[in-house]
Amino acid sequence: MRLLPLAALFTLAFSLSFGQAPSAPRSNNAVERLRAMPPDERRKALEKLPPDRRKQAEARMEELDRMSPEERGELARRYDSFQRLSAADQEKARKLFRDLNDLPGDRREALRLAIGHIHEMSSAERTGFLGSAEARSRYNRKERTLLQDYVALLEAPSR
Amino acid sequence: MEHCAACQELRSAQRLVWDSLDSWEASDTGWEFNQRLQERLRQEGRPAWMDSVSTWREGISWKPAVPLAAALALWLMVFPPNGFNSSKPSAPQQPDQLEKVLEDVQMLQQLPLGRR
Repeated sequence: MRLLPLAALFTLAFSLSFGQAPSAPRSNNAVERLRAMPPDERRKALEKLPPDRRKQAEARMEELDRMSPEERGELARRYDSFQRLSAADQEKARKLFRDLNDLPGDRREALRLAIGHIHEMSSAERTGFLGSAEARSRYNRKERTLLQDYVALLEAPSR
Repeated sequence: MEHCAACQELRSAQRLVWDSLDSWEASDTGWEFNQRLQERLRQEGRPAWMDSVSTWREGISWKPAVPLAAALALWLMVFPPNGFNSSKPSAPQQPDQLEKVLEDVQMLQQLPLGRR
């Protein structure tokens, strides 16, 4: 009988710790977690933002919802790679993205294509491409710097 | 009786026996003896495994276990094991955090990172 309070305490602790059996497996990836957020939870989280930022965030959420499972899977894989970068490298990636968006439309598109090609290259091919006459003729100094920054991010060590 | 020597002798012998019996003090068996006797009698009627349990329990002090168990229970309440808690991981709940993740997601749509 003396052990009864102890048993009760254990029962309480275990019911709190283990009692909530997961109804469905939940992803660790932020992309899937965002998509799985119930509408009222999304609304509650976004309603505290200023109207213009809220509108932009809602549009991004909707874009995410419209993606195919394959597109979302690829995005989730990229997000995982991004999360494995150091905080400083993550910030460099954000700055690179801002700088790319500041370029004029046609140049932005040219660099977007170059980035796609560079992503598919091996490490040696990237180095060769950046130092090539072709790259110097196609991209100005600032653009080449942006491409070099992108290559540095691809080669950056993961945490 | 006064004229019967044999009867006197018998009476004397009888008195000696009575006096001896009256002067004899029985040794006190004591409480411990009685307890042991009763325990022994109880043991006769129970299975052998119960003896092992009794011996094991007698060798254990539960007193130090109580605070340890309470501490363990408290620990489980405060830090529940990850694999069993469905509320983790959760989506970012803070608006700023959510906005930042969405910005990163948009960036990654256009900026492929990671190995091929």
